[in-house]
Amino acid sequence: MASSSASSIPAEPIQKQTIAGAAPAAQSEVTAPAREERLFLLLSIFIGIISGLLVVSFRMAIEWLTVLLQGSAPAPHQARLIVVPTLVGVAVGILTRYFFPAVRGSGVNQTKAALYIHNGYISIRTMTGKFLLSALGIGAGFSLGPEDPSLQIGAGVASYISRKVGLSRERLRIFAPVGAAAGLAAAFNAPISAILFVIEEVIGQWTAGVLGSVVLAAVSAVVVARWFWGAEPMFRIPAVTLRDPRELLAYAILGVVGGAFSLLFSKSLGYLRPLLRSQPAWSQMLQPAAAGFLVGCIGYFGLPQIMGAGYGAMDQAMHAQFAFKVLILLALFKIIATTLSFSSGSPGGVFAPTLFVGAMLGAAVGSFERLIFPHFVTGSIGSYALVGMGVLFAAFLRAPLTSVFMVLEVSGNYSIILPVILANTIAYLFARSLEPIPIFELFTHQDGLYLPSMEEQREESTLHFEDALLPITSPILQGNQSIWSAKTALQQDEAAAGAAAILIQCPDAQWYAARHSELAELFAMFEKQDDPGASDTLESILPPERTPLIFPDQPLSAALPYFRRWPIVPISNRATRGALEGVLSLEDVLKRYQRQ
Amino acid sequence: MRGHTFPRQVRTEVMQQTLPYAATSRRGLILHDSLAFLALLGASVALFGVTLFLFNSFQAHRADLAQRWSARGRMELSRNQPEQAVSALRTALSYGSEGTDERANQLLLAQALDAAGHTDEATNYFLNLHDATPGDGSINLQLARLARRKDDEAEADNYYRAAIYGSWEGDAVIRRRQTRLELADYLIQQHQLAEARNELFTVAGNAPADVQLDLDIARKLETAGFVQDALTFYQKAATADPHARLPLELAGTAAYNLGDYAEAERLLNHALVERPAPNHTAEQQQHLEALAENARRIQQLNLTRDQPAVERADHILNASKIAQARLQSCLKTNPSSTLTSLNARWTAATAGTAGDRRTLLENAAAQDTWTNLVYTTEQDTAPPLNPVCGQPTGDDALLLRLADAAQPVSAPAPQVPAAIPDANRPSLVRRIFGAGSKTATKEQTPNGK
Repeated sequence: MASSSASSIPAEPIQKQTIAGAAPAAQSEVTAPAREERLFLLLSIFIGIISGLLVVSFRMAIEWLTVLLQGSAPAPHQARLIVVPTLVGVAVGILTRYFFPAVRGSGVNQTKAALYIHNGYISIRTMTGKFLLSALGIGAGFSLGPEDPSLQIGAGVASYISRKVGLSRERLRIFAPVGAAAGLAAAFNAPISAILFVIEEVIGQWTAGVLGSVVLAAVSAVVVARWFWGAEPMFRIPAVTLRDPRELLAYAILGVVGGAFSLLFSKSLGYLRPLLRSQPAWSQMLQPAAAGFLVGCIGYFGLPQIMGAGYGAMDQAMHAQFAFKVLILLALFKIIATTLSFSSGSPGGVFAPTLFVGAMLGAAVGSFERLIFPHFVTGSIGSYALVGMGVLFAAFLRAPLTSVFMVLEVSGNYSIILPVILANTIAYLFARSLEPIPIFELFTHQDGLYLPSMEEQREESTLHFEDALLPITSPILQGNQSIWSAKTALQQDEAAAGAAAILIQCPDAQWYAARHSELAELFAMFEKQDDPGASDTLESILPPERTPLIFPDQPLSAALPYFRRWPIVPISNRATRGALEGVLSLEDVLKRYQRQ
Repeated sequence: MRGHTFPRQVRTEVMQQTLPYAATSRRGLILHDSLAFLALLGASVALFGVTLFLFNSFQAHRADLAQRWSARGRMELSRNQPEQAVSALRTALSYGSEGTDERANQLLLAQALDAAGHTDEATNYFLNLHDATPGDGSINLQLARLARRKDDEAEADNYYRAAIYGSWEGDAVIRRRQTRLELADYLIQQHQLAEARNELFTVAGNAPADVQLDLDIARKLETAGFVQDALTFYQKAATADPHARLPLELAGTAAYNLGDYAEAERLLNHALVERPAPNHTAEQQQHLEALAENARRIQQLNLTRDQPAVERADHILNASKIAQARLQSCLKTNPSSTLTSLNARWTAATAGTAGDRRTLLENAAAQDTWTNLVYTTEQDTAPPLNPVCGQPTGDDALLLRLADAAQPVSAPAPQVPAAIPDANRPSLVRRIFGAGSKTATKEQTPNGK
């Protein structure tokens, strides 16, 4: 042993150095994933807690600023309704231009851009600017919402924490949406909606690892938020009892009307935003002030309800405190005010204005339908307003699944689920048929970015193995047959020479795909039947690995790594162990993709 | 290199070289991560403190704003400015938090909406409050009043009863009693008199001794037409406070209306003796005195059988003189055939010794005949049968009152000369009990007469 070790000694130093040099890298590569796995879930909780606290602070800041700037009871013909948004618009314009250039917009697209372009990086400056300027703008009366900025604040918290902890790039990218879900959950006080929205619109995938962290963070954030705000739902309406199934038609009509209004909303934003952004830089700096002035004028001359997020007015609409005409006016002017506020570049979100327009529209449609069809439209105005909120959310933001759960969570009322599902689905399909591009994707195009469209991804048809597999034409040998009989069988099979590979069925229902050259090399050792080992089983001379177990319903793209080792891969049947549905080669896969 | 293994010595040397590095790296990472988590924990605690401070400070400010706006709303409501009150209370609610004040503000807002005429909105608000607390008495009462205003009888009745059996803050017994009295008012308004009576009796049965309450119940019973029951309660009130003038006055009036003139005279005279209320006017005093005098006088004009024969005879003679005087006076201005035949009947009745006191004393049938004649005379000379002669006054009026309330006496048909037919004259029974006597009809039905 010593001599054998001595003969290899000259190589050792090199090997040692190699090993020694490789050891730290290898060790850290082994340590890092395990460490990040341990950190991942625990960090998610902290991200949730800190995001929740920041969102609560954010909302408190907005409330304070609203009372200080707009007064405790804003009413028409109060001069401050015009003066304050204008002055604040000046300040926001200057600060956005010179100090916080990345805070424009709602925050949803910015978070997606961070995820897909900047490896999940969101700077502290952006997060701080978003906090301050959104609070200032919304508190002054700009027609924007706090939820989208909360999403970005949460993502910023996650980004910062994960950077400081020293996570890998892959984890950095994943943490941003975790924080986003936490921020949105705290803002809405609705964990399920936030999780669904982030997965539906930001990440676009349902992997177990991401889902666990998103859920943990969202739940932590909501626990924090509810510690301060309580667990009461945001809006309370009486239970909905559909005495007459025909009343579902009324909700269906609301879905159509909501789809039309969402189109109006998106067209307005689609027109004005690029128009204002194409103006010179000095003009862009004054745009928030001009928007503040115009929004203030709307409030001054009779509709102060459209200023700010508008939750108070939504609650009033649910209690049937507005007449039909007022509801329509509020819906229309909210669209105008939000278009002005958002397009001017003032930081803030579109979630709350969407809910506002939906609530007003729902209440208006419900009031009208009750007047025309009093016998079978028996639901309260509040239920129509609530469904209206979901309708606009589904049609305008193109988040159908989120919209259903959002309505359930903000009302705590499960009895409304049937009308919500029906109306939201109709609104979503109607809006999509008229305007295929969702609003967030429109914004990214206007910003010159190319982010993946989650809606398009949902629409994409994924190819599976079953779309490309071909019947088995390769010769099949049994692993338990003797080497000599296998060799003989192969030689006698005329078709075997043209086959891409030979399949060998091994015990325990496994398979081995061998190349001709590989088998020829193995069979070369046995020239006669009575050669030693010729009567051994074929399986005994094969290498230990076997072809992977794959099934027809799996994604076709999953096959590509296997072709590095295997000439063909057999596709197994899920019902019968060991039985094959067909085989697949690299060429078959490529041909199928090219045919798509 | 597959399957190649290093000699044991080499492996040992390799491990000895890499292990310290790996151990150091791992320790460093653990230390780093621990510090990171400690920092996160510290940051969370610090941020929690800041958030809590912000939250509490704003909550305190909100509570202050809610109080101020609530006070303003109450002030506007007390000034009868419901629109301003609505605006102020809405603002108060927007700053309020869950609790007693919030609920009180919601109630006030709903009342302000109602006062401002926003009935539908007020109803919605109360309905929302009702959904939250369906057993609340005050909310059910408000809904009852709103339903009453909308003429929704069934809803109003349901809500009133829910209010009666609901929960109340403060003195629930008094609130329930007041609600039941309000329900009784409503039932009377809807002409559901029997139900109203039941409710009033329930109130009486559950109530303590309270003069004012007895008077309220009595007034309502009287409004509903149950005068006998009303008299009972008036007397109960008078007994409880013998020196209070009002119960005596009301009881005496009720007794007078019932035809119990002896009791009426007693009660009214007692009332006159007691000190009047400060706001008692001279007119009211005169009316009371006149009523007492009427009660006394009407007993002297009483022609019913339930008195000694001598007294009755004297009363009949007296009344006949009054009636004949009335008839003669009317004949001068309106010599109709009815009055002329009536005069003939008088002539026949008083012919010879038929008009003697002795004859009347011995002949009960003659007393009845004269009584009928007196009643017929007073009724035939008064509106609506005879609008020309004018309203009877004094003793004529009293006799007319007696005539309208009288039971039919079993008197033989009057001996009217065939030469003076009066096909249009209604029969005596019809005139006493028929459509011509509205007062008699009203009083008879509730008291079973």
